[in-house]
Amino acid sequence: MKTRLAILLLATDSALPHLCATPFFHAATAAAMDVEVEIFFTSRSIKLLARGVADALPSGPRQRDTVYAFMQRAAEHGAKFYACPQAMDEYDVVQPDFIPEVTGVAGAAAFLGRCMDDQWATITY
Amino acid sequence: MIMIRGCSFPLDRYYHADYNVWVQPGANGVVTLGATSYGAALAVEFFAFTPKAIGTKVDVGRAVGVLELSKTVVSVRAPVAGVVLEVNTAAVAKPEIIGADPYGTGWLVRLTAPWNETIANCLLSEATLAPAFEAEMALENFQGPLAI
Repeated sequence: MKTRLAILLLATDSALPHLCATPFFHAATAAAMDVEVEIFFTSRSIKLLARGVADALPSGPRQRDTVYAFMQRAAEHGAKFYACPQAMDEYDVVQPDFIPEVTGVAGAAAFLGRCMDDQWATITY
Repeated sequence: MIMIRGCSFPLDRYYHADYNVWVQPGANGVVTLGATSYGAALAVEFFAFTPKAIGTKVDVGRAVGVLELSKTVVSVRAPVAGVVLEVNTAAVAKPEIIGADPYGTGWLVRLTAPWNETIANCLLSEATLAPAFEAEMALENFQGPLAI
């Protein structure tokens, strides 16, 4: 059984906050089951890594938790967050503005490497 | 049984305060594991329990399953090494029993695990569990279970 999970955030968009919590809940759950989890933030999802963005997004109509709270829980369970450098450039997100949960910067080759590796499962949101 | 800030702790088993679980050695090297009443009080409501598959080898400190709560997930960590022998299918089907009866029908998994005095000495029992859980509860500013 695979024990590693790479998650690609492509359509997880801060303009659609009701779609933003689930990937992090799944990441937290996988990490809680001792699965090694990496999340790759691409396209407009990169905005979630800028301080103050996810913290201002309600996760649903009941607004009990922000999207950032879900991100924090995923990170607390051990999920690693990687920012796509092309998306950073396109959407003007710079490293000094990152939330502290960001592990580093990793591009397309890093995620595709996971896709080609038998030990890794991948999900795209 | 002793009570700590409104939470019960039967004295016929061992505890791990960090993992918030109890273990009870039984016959033939079978160890039963479950959540503490303090863990149940923190959770408030259990939405789902997903155990590791029967036959899975689990090291000390690794997950034997995951509890899904209202807005978060919690690892159920094993304080002893072993192999998952049995899972509580009743708790999987009706996770609310974990909170309602954590020391009885709400047990989580059974492991085939060697048991000896050294293992027991690494866990909390009657003489040591009160200060350890009191410290954990103080850290969380836990005042007692919510009245539901």
